Amino acid sequence: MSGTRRKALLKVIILGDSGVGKTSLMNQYVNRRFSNQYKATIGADFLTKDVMIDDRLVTMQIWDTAGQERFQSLGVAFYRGADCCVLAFDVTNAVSFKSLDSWRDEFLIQASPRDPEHFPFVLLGNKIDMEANRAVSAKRHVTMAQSWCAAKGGMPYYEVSAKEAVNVEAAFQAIARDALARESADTSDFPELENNINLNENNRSSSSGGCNC
Amino acid sequence: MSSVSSDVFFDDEKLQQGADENFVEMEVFDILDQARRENPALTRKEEITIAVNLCKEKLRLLSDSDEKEERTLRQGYLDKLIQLGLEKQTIDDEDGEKEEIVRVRGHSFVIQPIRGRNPTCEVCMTTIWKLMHAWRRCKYCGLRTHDKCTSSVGRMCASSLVTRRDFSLNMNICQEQGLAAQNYRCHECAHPLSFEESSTLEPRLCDYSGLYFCSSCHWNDQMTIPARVLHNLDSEPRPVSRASKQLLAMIDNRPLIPLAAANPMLIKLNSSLKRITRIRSDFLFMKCYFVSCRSARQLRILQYLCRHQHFVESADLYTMSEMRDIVSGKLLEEMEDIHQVFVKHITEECETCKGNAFICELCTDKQIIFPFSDNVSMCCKCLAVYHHKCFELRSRFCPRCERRSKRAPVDIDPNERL
Repeated sequence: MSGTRRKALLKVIILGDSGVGKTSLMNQYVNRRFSNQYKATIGADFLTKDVMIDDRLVTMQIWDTAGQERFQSLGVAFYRGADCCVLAFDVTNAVSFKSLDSWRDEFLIQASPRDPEHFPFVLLGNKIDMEANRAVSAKRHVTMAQSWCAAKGGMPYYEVSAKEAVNVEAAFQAIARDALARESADTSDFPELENNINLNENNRSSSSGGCNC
Repeated sequence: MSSVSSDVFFDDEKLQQGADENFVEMEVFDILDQARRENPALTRKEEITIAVNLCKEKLRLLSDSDEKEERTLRQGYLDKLIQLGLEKQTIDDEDGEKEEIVRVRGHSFVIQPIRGRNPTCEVCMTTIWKLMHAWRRCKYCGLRTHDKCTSSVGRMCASSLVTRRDFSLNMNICQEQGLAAQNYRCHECAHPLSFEESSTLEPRLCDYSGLYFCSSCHWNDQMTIPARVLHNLDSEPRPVSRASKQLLAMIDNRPLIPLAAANPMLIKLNSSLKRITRIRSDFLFMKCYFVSCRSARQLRILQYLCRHQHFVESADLYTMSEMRDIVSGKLLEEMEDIHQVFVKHITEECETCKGNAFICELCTDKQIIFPFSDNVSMCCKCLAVYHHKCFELRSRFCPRCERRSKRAPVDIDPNERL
């Protein structure tokens, strides 16, 4: 019964500092393409992709956002109604990891989801193909990321590379699954009302007699 | 009082400029005359090189002072340099392939076909009989002359006037000085003028410059006057001199009228102008949406404004043709139509643009709002949009700015690695 009522559209939003590879991740997942060229995203834009999750066809609407503050002058109404938020950082860039908190807070404020404590976030550490560039061992930063995720209510963490398409597909599959799980929980919280109130039917009652001015 | 004296001053400057132009011409003529005597086999190209060197040398010698005389003299040399450069280019062009352009005083005269009406030559004032006379027209200002008359054209091309760095339109409504201020002579060709009844030397007033001209230099052409339309919304065409006509025709589609800056009261009092001003500021906000929207780029939605390119760059300049359309009401109609198309794209049709809308953070209303919606206010720093009432109630406090400023001091070394 509830299965038929689920919407088949999942809204996923990717946030993170500029240059961590948000656009690349989306492009790798949706178009299976990668370019080394850096081009700052202006405003926000989305791509859609149809995926099969447990024999069910879902359309993922993935919103890619501008990481640079100067390209964030427009509004973020698209945060509202999101089913999952992907936080991305660059494993070779410490600053991008430290800004994750503020990205998460910004999202929760602007999206104001019903249950902020349990809203599904997913953390992606991108550019693992450039691990050679890392000064500190991979092990240490994995534990750092994992402890951060644990502190935020057990957020799943994936290490990916948009360039080499490592783990991207799997991460987004998991994202879709998470979002879907969240959604079925939501719908059970708000069973549809049986007696709909039709506003248009009642408002003609007083039209008999009287003056119309 | 002050405005009158400034106009006299302006007049002097003009006369002075005319004298300096002649002075530059004479100097060039002298040096070329001397060079020709020394070397009779001088080609025109070599002559130009000599003249260019003279002008450059003189410009170098002139001090940088801002005195009027120096300034006009400098302008004279600069104009001559440009003319010479263009002439040299013509010769070079002709060496390569036979392109028939004669360049005199900034004009670029192109040979014309023999079809159509017989125009009047603006140099010798006689009819150009197309079947018998070769004739030319300047491709910039439209000045028509016989082929043989091109060398004696006295008027500078309007295109070289408007490309000067200090060019500005005369924004004072016709301030006549009277014939005495012009020594009873035509301002352009110095032909004697008189109001006496018996006289055939009828002076004609140019409504744009406020100066008198003879009938050769003033053909009673009718043009809308920028100052009158700016100050009075009066787009009635009035008689102007040939030079002013060519100038006004040239700038007709250039955004040169700073309506809001020059006449702020008018916008407050005139409802349709108020609306146009609002629409124009909306266009600038909408542009932000269109540049970040893929489908708007594909649809080339900004092309709707292709006749008004400057509308997407700023909000306060108008062209003369737009000013006429404002008076006739045509511009408002056109703008309303385009505005509707834009609003429909952003607020109804486009998923991306709708996603980039704002939701007022200061109240619980879930409705999306846009910078161009009614009753909204915008934070002037981060451009976030709130309901006007909510924003004023919180004394224009912007939560987005506050969050950003808290985030700003990143005290981490950017080179630090994990």
